[in-house]
Amino acid sequence: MNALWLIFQVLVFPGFLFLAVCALVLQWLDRKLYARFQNRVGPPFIQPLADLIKLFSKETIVPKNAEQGLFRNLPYFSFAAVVTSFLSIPIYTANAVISYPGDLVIIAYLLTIPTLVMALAGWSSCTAYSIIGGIRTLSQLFAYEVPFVLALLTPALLLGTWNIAEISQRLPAFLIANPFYFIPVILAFLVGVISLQGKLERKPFDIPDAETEIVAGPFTEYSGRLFGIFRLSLDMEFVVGASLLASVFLGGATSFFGIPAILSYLIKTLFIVFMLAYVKSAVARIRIDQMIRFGWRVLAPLSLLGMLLVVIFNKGGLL
Amino acid sequence: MSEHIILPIGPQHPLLKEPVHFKFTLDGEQIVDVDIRLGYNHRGIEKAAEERTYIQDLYMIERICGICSHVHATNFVQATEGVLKTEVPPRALYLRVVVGELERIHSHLLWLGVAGHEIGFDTLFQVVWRDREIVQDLLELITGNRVNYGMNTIGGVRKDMNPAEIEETLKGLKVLEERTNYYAQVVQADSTFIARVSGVGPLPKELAISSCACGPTARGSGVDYDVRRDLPYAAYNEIPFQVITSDRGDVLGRALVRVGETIEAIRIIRYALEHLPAGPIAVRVPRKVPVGEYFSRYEAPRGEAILYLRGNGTEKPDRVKVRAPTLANLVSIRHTLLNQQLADIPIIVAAIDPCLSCTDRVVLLQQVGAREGEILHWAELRRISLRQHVLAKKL
Amino acid sequence: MSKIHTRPGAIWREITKNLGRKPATRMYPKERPVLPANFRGRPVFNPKGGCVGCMLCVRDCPSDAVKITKIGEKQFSCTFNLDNCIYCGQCADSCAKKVISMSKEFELATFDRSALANTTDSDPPPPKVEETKPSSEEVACETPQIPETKA
Repeated sequence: MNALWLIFQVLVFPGFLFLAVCALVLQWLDRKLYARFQNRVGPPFIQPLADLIKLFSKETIVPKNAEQGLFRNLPYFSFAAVVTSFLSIPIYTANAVISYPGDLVIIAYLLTIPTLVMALAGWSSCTAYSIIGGIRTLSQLFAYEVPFVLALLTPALLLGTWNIAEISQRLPAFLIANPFYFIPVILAFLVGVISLQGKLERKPFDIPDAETEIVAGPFTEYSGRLFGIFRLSLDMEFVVGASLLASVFLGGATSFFGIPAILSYLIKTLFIVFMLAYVKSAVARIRIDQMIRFGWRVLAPLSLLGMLLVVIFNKGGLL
Repeated sequence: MSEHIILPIGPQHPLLKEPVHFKFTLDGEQIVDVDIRLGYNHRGIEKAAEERTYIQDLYMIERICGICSHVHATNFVQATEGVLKTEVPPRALYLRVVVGELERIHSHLLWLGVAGHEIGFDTLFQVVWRDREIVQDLLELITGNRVNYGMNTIGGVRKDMNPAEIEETLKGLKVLEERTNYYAQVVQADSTFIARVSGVGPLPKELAISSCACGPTARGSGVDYDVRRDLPYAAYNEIPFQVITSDRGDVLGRALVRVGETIEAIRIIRYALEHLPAGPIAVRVPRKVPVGEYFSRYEAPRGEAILYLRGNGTEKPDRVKVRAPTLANLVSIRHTLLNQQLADIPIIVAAIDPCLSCTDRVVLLQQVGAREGEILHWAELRRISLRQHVLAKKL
Repeated sequence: MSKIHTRPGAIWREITKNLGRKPATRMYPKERPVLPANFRGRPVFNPKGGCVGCMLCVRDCPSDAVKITKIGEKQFSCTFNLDNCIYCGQCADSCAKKVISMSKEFELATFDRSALANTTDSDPPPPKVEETKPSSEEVACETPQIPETKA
């Protein structure tokens, strides 16, 4: 019975099927917001599903020069990593499906797998455009990964726990009790949002997927079903990233003012999606060297500052 | 030892709006060498112009380009009127200026949107093109069409402007001026935009002059030359305006020149509409154009456009030659691209505002079995084309 | 080069305002466009206009889109080939009698190529008041036409 319930949770709710539906809905919301910011109409609700069905129904063309084994199997790795990481985020109860001490670190690592897979996909396609795209993905990884992980670790350090579910339950009460720590947490939150924008490769950091320069970057040679799975896994990464930030910084599925937990989770995730869409609409795409400079000169020091504040005041026993 | 990647861009590529071929040699992300190939848009217009009467040619020449159609049409009628030595009524000249400057606004706003798109600033692209619709609606109101206006005829213009249209235009211009000023401020204040265009694609002033750059490409490097002021045509000798230049020499300089020219164009149109002289809008011209030749120049949004016309006493021209500004600016692209980053290719190429439809006039043919690189002269080319024509008719 | 003072997202005012605005997209075909008076749509031949067959429109058309054929005494048939036409309006300008005008119809796409050749015949000329000789059209009638002015 327990095993059946677990399988249901992993495959349907809040696992794979719920994640896929969330991915499509949030992709629609992101595109609709982006369009409305630009005074356009935007796609109808059914558009992401229609795109997915279209991609799955098209022929998959594999270039002759590509590394056949890698090329065909890489999308599934990215897919698997993202779905696994979603299981540790509390969605409809205070506890996640699979929750254990240290899962914050594991999730942060699992979320780098899609990036590595994209770089490998670019390399295995053996075209000039995709190789350049793959190299750019890896370079970008070095720029945002450190600030992202440091930002995530700030509340963990503050509360003394590495468990996402526990952080989401305890953080709101802790902050209300000690309002000084709003400063490092908000700082870490902002750094986390910007680094997430880089991880998801959205403007201003959509350098590997720069349409006007290298066509589609690592995905130039992908088509049909394989490309559909890649796109789905990237959309799922979007959901997981936003949910992670909502859980770690905003309190996740803990209810406030007595509303059900899942509603609280949805509101917070949608708030982060709105912020991400706003940033995406307001800026241009910057170059890879400018991005690395930005990541190391602005983001990393800010996240370090947040951690420093926590270490000095909390661990040093000053407050 | 670094390995050089050869990256071909074009003729089909998302960054190119029209087909052209670049072959880049890259060292990592830095450009080491560039090879440019043209000719994908050659349509044989100059040859076709000799087979049609002048009034038929007017519409064909207008369709050389969609963005700068009024440029080529005005050039053609100016050249024909020059050979005929007709006196064009002043009202027609002012109306030509009005439509020409409206076209300049629409072309520069189009460029701003495209430049935004090339660097990934899609929001700027969408909102600028939304405001460009004001200009398009005004052009449709005045001339009857959004592109390929058909405003000119030999001896004047075809359509007059009544007071209702003038008032509508002035209202539209007020909105446009306010929006363009906002975009000018955004373009200079946004750090992501500035990061992508400042210091990118530098073209020093001496190099701009020696590589025959013209238009905003040259004025963005400090070259103070504008056909409207230095060799005035139409009504520009009676309308006061400023020539916008920038000393920066990079893509940002060219962008600032274009935005400045848009605001200046709004002022020119306002002045022209307020001082519109009364009178007829066209004079009758004979069908047969006497023997003679004329060089007509026009300050297109992209630079100096030249049209050379030779009449031979018949209804059809003897020779029409069109030199578009992009052909002159393409030489400078090579200088601006060297030692730049791969990521900057789209914006540097877009900075000269390439219009390959205007440009492609020459094609290199190679006869099967001929020596490598044989150049066919005009008479030989004509003979081959006539033979092909006869063969096609027989089939 | 002078240092420019910049901040990211300088366009924020515009995008925030856009959230409150109606989208700028014109929802064609639900929303019909308002066309100005000068709009050049499908060329139209006025059968009552009095075409004299001078063929100036045929001579001046840049793309061979107009054909005028004589079908009777002072009666002409005008065919517009809409797939050739470039909607420049030169035929309307060249016409000595102003018989051709540019309408506002622009939804001309069709699946049938032959539907793109629009032919209009001009009306027969009105019978001359003093003329007693019947015209070719009147020969077909049973009774001769009685001129109106004859009392």
